[in-house]
This record gives sequence, C-alpha cells and structure tokens, in this order.
Amino acid sequence: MLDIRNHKRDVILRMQNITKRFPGVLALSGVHFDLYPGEVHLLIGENGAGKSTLIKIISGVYRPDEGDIFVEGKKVTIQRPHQAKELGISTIYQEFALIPHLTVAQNVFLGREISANGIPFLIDNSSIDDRCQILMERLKLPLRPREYVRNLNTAEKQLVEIARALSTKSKILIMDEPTSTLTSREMERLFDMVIQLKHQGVGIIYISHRLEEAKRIGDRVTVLRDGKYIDTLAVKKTGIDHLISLMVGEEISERFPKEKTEKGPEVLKVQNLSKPPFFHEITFSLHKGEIVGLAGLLGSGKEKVLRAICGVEGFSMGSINIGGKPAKISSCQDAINYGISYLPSDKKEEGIILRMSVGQNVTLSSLKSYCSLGILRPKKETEVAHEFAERLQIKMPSIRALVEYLSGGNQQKVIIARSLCCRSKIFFFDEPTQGIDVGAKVEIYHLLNELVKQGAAVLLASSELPELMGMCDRIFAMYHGEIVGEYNAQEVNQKELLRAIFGKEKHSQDEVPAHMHH
Amino acid sequence: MGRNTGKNGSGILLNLTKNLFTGMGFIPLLILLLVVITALNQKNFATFSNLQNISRQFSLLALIAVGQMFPILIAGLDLSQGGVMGAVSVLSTLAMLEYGVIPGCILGILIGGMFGLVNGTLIALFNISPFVVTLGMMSFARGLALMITNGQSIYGLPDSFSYLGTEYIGPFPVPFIIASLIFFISYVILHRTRFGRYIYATGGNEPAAKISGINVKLIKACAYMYCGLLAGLASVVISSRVNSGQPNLGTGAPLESIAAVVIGGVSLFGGEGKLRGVFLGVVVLSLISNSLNILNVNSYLQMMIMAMVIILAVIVDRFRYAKD
Repeated sequence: MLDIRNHKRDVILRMQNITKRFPGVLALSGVHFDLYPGEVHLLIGENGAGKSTLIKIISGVYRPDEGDIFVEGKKVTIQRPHQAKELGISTIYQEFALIPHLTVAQNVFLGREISANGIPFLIDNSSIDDRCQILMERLKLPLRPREYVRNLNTAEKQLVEIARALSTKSKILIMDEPTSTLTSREMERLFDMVIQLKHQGVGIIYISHRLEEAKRIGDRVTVLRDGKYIDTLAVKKTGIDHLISLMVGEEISERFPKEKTEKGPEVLKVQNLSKPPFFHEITFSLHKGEIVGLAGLLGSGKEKVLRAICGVEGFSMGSINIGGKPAKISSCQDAINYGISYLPSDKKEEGIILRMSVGQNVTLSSLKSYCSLGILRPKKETEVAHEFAERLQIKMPSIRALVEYLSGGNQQKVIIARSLCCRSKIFFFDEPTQGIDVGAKVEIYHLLNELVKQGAAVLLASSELPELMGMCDRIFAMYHGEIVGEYNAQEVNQKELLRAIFGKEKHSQDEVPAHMHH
Repeated sequence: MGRNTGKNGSGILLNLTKNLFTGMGFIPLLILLLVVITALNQKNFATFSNLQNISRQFSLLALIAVGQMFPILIAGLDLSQGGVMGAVSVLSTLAMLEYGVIPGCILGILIGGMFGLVNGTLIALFNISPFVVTLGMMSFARGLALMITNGQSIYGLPDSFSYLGTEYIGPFPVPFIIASLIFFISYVILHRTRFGRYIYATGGNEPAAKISGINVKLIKACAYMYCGLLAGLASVVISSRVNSGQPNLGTGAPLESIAAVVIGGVSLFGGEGKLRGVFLGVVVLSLISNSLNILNVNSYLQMMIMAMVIILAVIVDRFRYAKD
C-alpha cells in the first residue's frame, strides 16, 4: 500500500490485477502494468499472450472483468475509446483508420475541425493546413498537409496515423507494431520522434515483435505469457535470449494429442514457387499421413503461399506436383479437383455461408454427386450431410439449422466436413484454432490426427509455435516471404523456432519488410 | 419441417398458410386490408372480369420480378429490364414481320437473354458495380429501340400474335399460365439444381463460395442472363397484348420488379429470400395498383403512392437484416 502511495505522484498509468475473460478463454489473469512519464515501456509476448487485450483495455475498447486502472494516481473506469482520449491516452493501431479522399491535414484533424471565423459548419481549411504544418515541423515528418492520403504509400500512411495520435496532447501513447510497415530510414525517424516525445514527458507503451530494434529505445520491458504477468525488467540489463525464454516458458505437450502415423509416399511437391513481393522460391513437399507445419509471423507470407497453391490467388513462377504428376491450378475448382482443400483462417469471412444450413454447407463442394439429370436429390444429399456431421460429431440442433448458430469450433468442423465430402486428400489449414476455446482446439487436433490416419496429408499454417511443435512431424519456418529453415518437430526447441520466424537465423539483411520491395 | 403435423385436411391447409406467411411480416395483413377496403367500396372489384384483370397484371409483373430476384440474390440488381423490354419489343416484332410469329417470339426471348448475359459478363469479369452496368445497359437498349424505329411504334403484326396476351385457356388468361410455368421452373432452378444452390451460396458469402470450388463469375453471368430471358419473355407477352412493337415499353419495370422482390422479403444484401415471398410481393403490388385504378385514384397520385410503398419496403428490409 505504501508503495503505491509513493508512486502516486510519478506513475501516470497503473494497472492492477487486470483480469479479462472471453467465452471459454481467460485472456488476462491478474496482470500488472505501470508506466512513468518519459518512459518507453515495451510490452512483449507471443501471439495470444494477451498484449492486444491489455492495450484494448487501456484504450477503452474492452472493459476488464476485474482490476483497477489509475491514471495520474486517480482511479478511472474507461468505458469508451473517446474517454481514453480525454484522459490523454492515444493509440496508434496497425490497421489504418484514414480516409483516402481527404488530405493529410483533414485526416489529422478529423472530428476536430476548426470553424472559419467562429461560424459553425464552415470549415477553415487553411488554418487546419497551417496547424498541420506546424505539427509536421514539430514532429519532423516529411508530409505535406495538402497531399491526399490516397497518394501516400503504406509507410507514409502510418506516419499520418502517428501525427494524428500526437496532434492531441497525449500523456500516454500506445504504439502497436509501429515499425512493421516502415523501411529502415523511416524507422530511424520514428525512433527520433519517440525519443523526442520521451523528453517531453510522454509515457509510451511500445509493442513489437522485433525485439532487436525495440530494445534500442525501450527503458523497461514487461513480458506476458498465456494471459499471465511474467516479469518486468530493465531493458539494458536483459538479453534477448532471456526475453525469448521468458516469452516461451516451459511448455508441456499434453495439450497436443499427437499420434504416430505411417509416413507414406509423397503426395505434393512444390518447387520454387514465387509471387513477388509476397513470397520467393518456396520449395517443400508433403507426404501421405504427415502433418507439416508452416510457422511464421503475420506478414511472413505463409497464408499467401497456402492461398496460391489452393488457387485462391495466383502465383507467378514455380511448379506444383501432385501424386508425382505436374498439376495446373488456376482456380479453387482446379485445386478441389486435384484433391486439395483450403480451410481459411477467417471462417466467417471466407469459410462458411452463415445463412445456409449445416447440411447445405457440408455438401456445397460436392453437389454434383447428388444430382441426377441436373436435378438435386435432396434425400441423398441430406443422408450424406448427416453421415459426415455424425462422423465429425458436429454439435447442432438439426442438419437444417443455420450454420450461423453454431460455435466457432463446430463451424470449423463444418468446413472440414465439406472438404471430406469432396474427397480431398490434401488439407491446407490456415490458423485453424484461431479464436476458438481450448476444448474445441483439442477436438480439432484430434480431427487432424484422424485425417492423417486415414491417409490424408495436412499442411498446418500457424503462428502458435507450441501448436506446431505439438502436432506436426516437420515444420518449415517462414520469414519475409522465404522459407528460412526446416525442422523436425520432435527435436526442435521453441527458442530455435522463434529465432527463425523472427529472422534471426539468417543474417538479418535490412529492416525493409518483404512487401515493400518493388 | 412440420410434415407430420396436421392429420386432417384443415390441418394441412392451416400449416400451408402458416408456412406461406412465415417471415413475410406485414404482407398478408396488407393484402387482406386492401381486398376488404376495395371490395367494400367498389362493387366491380370482386367481379370475375376484374379477377382476370388482376391476374393479367400479376402475370406481367411476376415475370420481371422473378427475373429480378436472381441478380438480387447474388447481391446485385438489374436496372436494364425496362430498356431491354423496349429493344426486345421492337426487334421481335420486326423479326415477326419477316419470319413469322413463333421465330419472332423465340428471337425476342433470346435477345433478352443476350442483354442479360452481357450485363452479367461485364459485372463478373471486370468486377464493376451492377448498378452502373445495368443503368448503362438500360439507356443503351432504349436508345437502340428508339433509333431503329425512329421513335415510332411497329404495327401490322399477324393476328395470331395477339393470342399470347389476350386469349384464355379455360378461365385463365394465357399470361397467367405462362407466369405460373415460370414460377414452377424458377422454383426447380432455385431449390433443385446446383445453379440455384450456388446462387444462394454466392450471394451469402462470395469468398466462401469461391473457396468451395464454385465458379462465381459463371454463376453471376447466368443469373443476369436468366433475368434478361424473363425480361424478353415479358416484353413479348406485353407486345402481344398491345399487338405492336413499342420502343417505350416497360419504363417502370425495374422499379416495380425490385419493389416486388424486396416486399417479398428478399434481402438486397444477397443470399436470402424465397420464391414464395416474391409471389406474395407481386400479389401485393398488383392488388394495390388494381385497387387504385378501381377507386379512380388520379394516375399521377398512383405513381406517388407506389413509390412510397416501395421505399417503405426497403426500409423494412433494412430493419430486418441490419446486423447491428
């Protein structure tokens, strides 16, 4: 208690015992976090560790189930994003919330326009431009206020976001992966800015996957793992390897019910597949009865590779062999005819048709089999749908129920059933367990086992390393659109894998992200 | 779905009406209200000849509304129906003068389908807004019709041509028989063919349909083509009724057909809606317009009333499908 009192004068943000539950998931449990003025506080952890949940609580998007938040020593409840803004908390998000057809200045001052001569409804564009110019000079940003946002590149848009966040008097600034789209020179400018803000007494929460560069500007670092608070350390005294081991912790593989299967003949061989600027020279093979993992961070290009092979998006060079014969895949129909099914990460966006029934979703890819003379035979169709729904133990009120009302895990099963129905032999899973609860995850893992036991081959793309290490036979690591290593899942340790997907295994070239190459 | 309920005749009937009206909201009430008010006020509403009138009105609207339902189910729409009807009327009657009645009719329907196919192909291949494409096509087709005829009507058609629009089979006007047939065919297409299922899938979630191996572009093109075919058919029937080729045929067609579809509960966001809904929508609209006629409402005022009904229907659609 005394401790808190002493800090009251100094600490601008203190979060105590923050707990947040989502249905089936404990996203945060008893997390502590504090921030001093003029400090850059790094927040690190693996995907799913709870970083973004914590950030969303600070910025008013979520409300914590338990715990207290103090801003400048006063207890506050932040219920809405604009309340956070009033408290001086600004957030720079990864996704851009800019309006392309307005100018830089109009975007920066959006919602806070200046009236001309105090006449309401009339906007004084020139004084907005002037204010913006002053801001740009203060922040040393190379942006012209009158430039339209649609003409800017990704990095410049990021800078506009930053300018917008800094145009209000922020005491607390949250930066979520701010450098992921920046080139090295732009990153230097951003760091200059961060240092300048530090001197002005702004407290900065900085989230980054790039530990190396984050270490350069951070003062303290807080590590989260599985929604739990692990430790807060002084950055200068902590090595990167130590941080990585804190992020990883000791994992037990019991959550992953991997079963041994016979490895059969090669069913898929991908050679030198390229689609600049997304991925280059991708070569790998897939055997019957095998689960192969594809590890990589967001933007590593792993989902692009999957989508290219499955005919969702094309590729420009390279070859695909299926069952030893060259395959020409230019659409999803082609892929399905070759027996490859793509199971997308965003089920609601791309996977299922919410307003159609479970049965209709299950049979969608194989309707041809239930037609005679071009007319559907509903009885036969329903029978097949029933059979597969039962095999996968889909929990549903009836086969005619809309998929919309099923849980995330069961929706995932509907997609698997659809692929089984059209006799797929090769399954490409893109983040299959994202956003579903622990119990459903284990069920999905059992299904993966079942698939390979029956002679299928599975490619599993995931950013959750424990999942890959627990379920796969082999793992390929991707970084910046390239495969940077192949590992035996039983032998590799997580640190090694983590280093690979962070690009530390190869000599780190430069900081230009792959998609910025032209 | 409730197949086992209703052991006696009245039970089945009750069930049928229930099924027919589920999800239709205010429509059955509206129909009842209209019928009662008009029948009470005007003696010639409930006459046999007026019923035949209504059924003819119903039939023509039904053809274009069922056609319109297909693009709307894939989250599009077809504004070109009216213009296409004008062009078909002119081209089919001209062909008729040259080659005879039946080739003229068939050609007319096919030309309608061609226009639809062009609409659909442009929309699917270049991924342009259906609004712009079909709006352009509307003007193009109308322009074509007016250019060919120099704005004049085409007369002197064979007498046998008027059969389609004016004759009866039993007590039923021929257009009514045609419309019933189209309802049946469309029902089969939507619920018993792959094309129908793919239409719902494409409208419900296009990326998911694509990943499921559906040729989404082909489905789109075909949906617009079907709409065009029915516009062509409607045009031939109306031309037969007026026994002439009219370049200005069907000016109000897209508005009325979209209205009937939306009143029938088909979502403008795509992927949802039933044929029985469109049927009821068409009944409502033709009843309204017939009632207004019988009640001697000023025809300009009629236009305004119809417009209000349509906008109201869209507002109801908003509320019904608004997710947040």
